[in-house]
Parts: sequence; structure tokens; C-alpha cells
Amino acid sequence: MAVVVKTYEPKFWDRFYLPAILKGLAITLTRIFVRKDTILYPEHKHVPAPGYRGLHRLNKHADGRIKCVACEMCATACPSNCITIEPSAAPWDDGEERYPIKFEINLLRCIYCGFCELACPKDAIELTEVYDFANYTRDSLVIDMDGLLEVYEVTSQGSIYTRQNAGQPVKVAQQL
Amino acid sequence: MPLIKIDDRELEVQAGDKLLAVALAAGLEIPHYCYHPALSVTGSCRMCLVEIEGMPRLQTSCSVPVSELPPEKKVDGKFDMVVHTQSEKVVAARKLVLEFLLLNHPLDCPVCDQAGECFLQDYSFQHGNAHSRFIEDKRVRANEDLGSGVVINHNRCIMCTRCVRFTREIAGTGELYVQNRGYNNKIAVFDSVPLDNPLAGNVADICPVGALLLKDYIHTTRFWHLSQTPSVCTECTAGCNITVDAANNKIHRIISRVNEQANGHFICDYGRYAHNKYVEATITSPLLKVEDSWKEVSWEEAYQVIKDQVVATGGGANLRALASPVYPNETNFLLANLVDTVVEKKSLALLPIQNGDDQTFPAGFRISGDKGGNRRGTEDMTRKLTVKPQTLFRGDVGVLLALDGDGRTAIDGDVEKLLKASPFTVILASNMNKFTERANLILPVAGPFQREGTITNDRGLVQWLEPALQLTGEAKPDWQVVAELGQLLTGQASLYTCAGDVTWKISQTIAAYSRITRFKLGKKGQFVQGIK
Repeated sequence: MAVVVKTYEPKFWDRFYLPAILKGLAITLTRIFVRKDTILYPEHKHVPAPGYRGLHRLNKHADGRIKCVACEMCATACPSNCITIEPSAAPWDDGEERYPIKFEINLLRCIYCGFCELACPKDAIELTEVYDFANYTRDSLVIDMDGLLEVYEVTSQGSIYTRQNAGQPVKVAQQL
Repeated sequence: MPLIKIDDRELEVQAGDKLLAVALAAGLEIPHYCYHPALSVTGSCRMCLVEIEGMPRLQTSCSVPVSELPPEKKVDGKFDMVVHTQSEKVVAARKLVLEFLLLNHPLDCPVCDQAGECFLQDYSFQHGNAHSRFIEDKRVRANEDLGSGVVINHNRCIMCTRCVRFTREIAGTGELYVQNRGYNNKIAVFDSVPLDNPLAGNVADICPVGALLLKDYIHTTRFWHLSQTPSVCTECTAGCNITVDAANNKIHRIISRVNEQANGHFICDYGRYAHNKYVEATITSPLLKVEDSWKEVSWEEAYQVIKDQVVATGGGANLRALASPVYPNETNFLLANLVDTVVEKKSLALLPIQNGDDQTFPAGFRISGDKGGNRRGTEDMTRKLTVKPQTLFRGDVGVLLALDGDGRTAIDGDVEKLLKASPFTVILASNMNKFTERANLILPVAGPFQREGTITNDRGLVQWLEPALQLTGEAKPDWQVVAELGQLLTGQASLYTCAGDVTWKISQTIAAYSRITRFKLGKKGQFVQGIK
């Protein structure tokens, strides 16, 4: 089947180019009176929508004990094998009898799919909305258990970006 | 012989055999917890219920014997028993039984070490309900230490009493019993009489749920991370079959593997915890003793030193060798070959290994006192050449080539004199111990659980030793090092590329081993020629 290729034939007014220029200028001028979509990034931070999958955190119970029981479901479900867990018998007598002594996530290998969050039977691992944790070395992007618990401290009182846009400093990027 | 029909399968079986055993032997699956082929039948879990035509109620298939009917009473004119395992009645009964078993079960699979190999998980998934109607509080009890490295989690227990029957029937010590009745019953030990026998670890193996746990393994890894290697224990001459569970080149636990020709269903605790002995002081490169301290050298340097020393001490004719009963047949065979080629007179002895008393248990399980696991094989390999150790230190003593005894060497007077008489001692070893410290040169070879080859137990069963761990550092397979030493001292090229090649050579050389090759052995092994 033959394909009809439409070609552009400039009309009489088109050859002047002026109408098109004026049309473009009109659009540009109306933008002055519309709310801006761009933000000045480092000073102002984008607040992601709920359900955004960013940096991980390890949740704690109300009494400050880690929720994770080192069942390694997240590490098993992980498609990029970025989670390393070392389990051990818990030091406390009441509560869960197992807890992690090592919990590492390689943030460079992670594809932020959220499978770990879905697999977790204890709601211990969660993905937060934190997205700006870029760093200078690869080693610094392997986050350990202390780091993940620190993320919980920082993010557990609501979005850090709404607070930050109100003038508070970013703690997450510093501790990484 | 009675002809029975289980679902669609027609089976001709021995009268008196239990229905469940018959079905399992035929490859049919009937879910069960309390039934264990090595233990007596109790029928306490009720999981193996089946419908048998002519019987009014469902029967526990583990306790129903198959019997022959008179011709006029046979079902359909030919069957002695017609069994349904998938009928509506059976499926409904299984659901109810599982709901009962799970009444007080905590469902703490995330922290349970049995998860992944748990029959409660498997059967709940296949035959159970997704929900329980039990809304009351579950019975909660604290964990208890039973002794011998075994912990019990009462909450997970389903009272199958396999462990109780094991201590009574197999170990013969009977420490465990069922305390109280009904809601209050639990597995317990008598006051101040803890679980204490050399087979205690087996109760964790036979526990179908995660109630009995080994302290050594608890909370160390998850089951699905482990790679399971079917292997053989070399801690004594009984040659028990084991499965070595390792992850990341580290052994997490050793469990028993069924082989009726060797150990049956169980292993002893010495073998179960053997891997813990060998984790430290691993030798990773050839070590040369220079003024009472060890210097790491390369393999080329090590071989050069051996060559120089052999020349300096009067050539190969003065060579002495010690074969070791903890190494496989292949290594000892090659060492014997080397000595046979290089030395004119007999100059090889067996390394003395610790020896104790044999232990035999009521059901026939035995632990050999002889800790040289491959004693019989080593004797078979070196029969032509072996002399008593005291003849070795007479005359001009040259270089001594010795295989290590894995820390089980019994350094007696004869060995002491031999070590003193020898101007240069070369020991092939994997771990530092009292014997290896006496060496002038240590060559790193495969250690326990890294070795490959055949071993012969004291009853003449030849089995293939499968390596569970990779070699560390510059260590080489033991048979390869002996083959290379042979090449070095005789000048003849080595013909072997793998341990199986040496096994083939053994089958060509030694009459009793003529039928044995790597692939004929399989996982169960073969007896040497001349033994029925």
C-alpha cells in the first residue's frame, strides 16, 4: 500500500513569518501571569507524591526497638540482590527472639522496586520519599543498619521536604 | 501377596506392612508428621488419615497393616484393600486436623529456623485452610534448654512425639517424655536430668516442625540460602552419610542422610559438630620453617626445597612416608605408588590416629572408637608396602613425607622417634595442629569437607566423598599434590586430571576395588569385592 506523505506548503502569510512570531510571543507573555512549574532545585525541594519509592528506612517499635526480625524475606525477594543481612539471637528476653546484627543495602544496586517492602512480614523495611542522597564515593552509598534507623528518625515525623522547604536543614544527605 | 489399590495405583505388597510405608515406598504421597520409618508407630498426629473401603471411619494409614482377605471377600473380586487418599471425606478431615494442629502454633515463620523445610508450612499450603476459626488467646510458653545443645520452642510443638520415641528406642536413654495431658501437655525432661547422649542432635533433625532446634544453627541463616552437598562423615570408621549445608563457603550445619547400608537415618553429635573444629588456623600457602618461625613460600619454591633435601639426604632410597587414614583412598594410593617407585624397600607406615571405645546403641546405631575415618581403605591401598612404624627410623632416614591426621594424630613413641630421626619432614595438611608444628615444610591441601575421592568404611562400603567447600588460598587437592610430588621425585608425568581418574586407576590395580568407579558409587556407595 502506498503511503501518502503530506508535505508542508507555506501559504502566502506564512512566508512573512511575522504571524507565527507574534503567536509565540503571545504564549510567552501569558506565562507571566500563570503559576510557575519550575522550582529552584537546591534551595527549594520537590515534594514527591505519596507512594514515591526513594531511600529505604528500618522502622522501630514505640519503645525504640528495631522491628526487623532478620527473616531475610526482603533479601530473598530482592531482584537485584542488594540487601545483606546477618541474623543473630536477640539480646532481649521478651518480644521477638531474632534480630539483625548487620543490615546493609547497596543503594547503587537497588532498583527501587519496593519488593522488599511488600515481602516484609513485620512492616520493618519501608521506602521513603527521600531522593537526594547522591554522594561522591561508591562506598558511601552502601547504607548500614545505623544509617537506615537514622533515616527512620528523620522521616518518621512527616515529609522532610515540606519541613525543609519551610527552612529546616537536610539531615539525610549529611549523614550518608 | 495381597493386592491393594491406592487411588488409581495397584500395588502388590507384603502382608503385614503398614499402609503408609507401602504408599511412601511406591512414591505416593500421604501427608504425615509422627510417622518415621526408623521409629515405632503411634498414630498421634492424625495427619495420615485415609479412607479404606469397608471400614466405617477414616483410618491412620501409618498404623493399618495390609493383610490378605479370603477369596470370597475380596473387593471387586481381586483387591485385598481399596484405599482413597483424595476423597472428599479425607480432604475435609485433613483440613480439620491441620486446623487443630495450628490452634496454638504461633505462626512465627519469619523468625523460625525451620521455615523453608517445615512440613507444617508445606501441608498447610497444600491441604490446610487459609484461616483459623480460633479466636481465643494462643497458649504461650517460654523456650527451654533441654541440654546437649538442643532448645525446645514449646509453642511450635505439635506433639508428634518423634523425639520421645527417638530417645527411648534409638538412643536408649529416654530423657524426653510427655509431661501432663491435653491442653497442658508438653515435651519435657525430668528435673535435673538433661538430654545427654551422643545422638541428641538427631531430635532436631527428625522434628517435623521448628520446635526442637540446635543452638549451633539457630538464627544463623535461612534454609534457602544453603547449598546442600551429599557427603560422608570421616570422623570415625563408621562412614555415616551426611548432608553438608553451606553458604558462602562456610558450613552452617551438618545433618544426616539416609543410607541403610551405612548409618540408617541418624548421625552422632561428634560428626554433627565436626565442622566447628576446622574453622580456625587454616593453612593457605606452603609454609617453610626458618629458625622456628613459618615463612610463606610459593609452590615452586616448596617443590625445589623438597628436591634439594631429597638429594642432600642420600636420594629417594632413604625416603620415608606416613599414609593417613583420614585422607581418601586416592591420596593414599598415590603416596603408596610414589614410595613403591622411588624406594626399593618397604618404607611406609600408617599414621597412628586416636582410638577409643566403640559405642553401640540399642537400635544398632554405632560410633566407632577408631577416629581414622578411612582406616580400611588406607590399609587396602598400602597393603603391599606397609611396615610397622618402628622399622621406619632404622638405618639412614631421609626426607619424611607425611599426610596429616586432622588434629587426631596420636603422636606416640615411634612417631616421635621417626620425627626426630628425619632430617626434613614434609607434611601435607590443611590446619595447624600439634603434628604439623613438627614439620619443616607444610604443603596446604584440601581439608575436611574439601576432600574428594573414595573412602571405605570398616564394613567395606566404598563411598564417594563430595567436597562441600572450595579450597582456600593456594591450597590444592590432596591427591594432586601427591601426584605432583610423584612427578617431582620419579620424573614420570602424572596421568591424572581429577580424583575420578585416580579412582579408575585403583580399580585397575587393586582387585577388591575392580568394580568401583566414581559414577557407579552414586550416593549410596558400593561394597568392596568379596563382601556380601
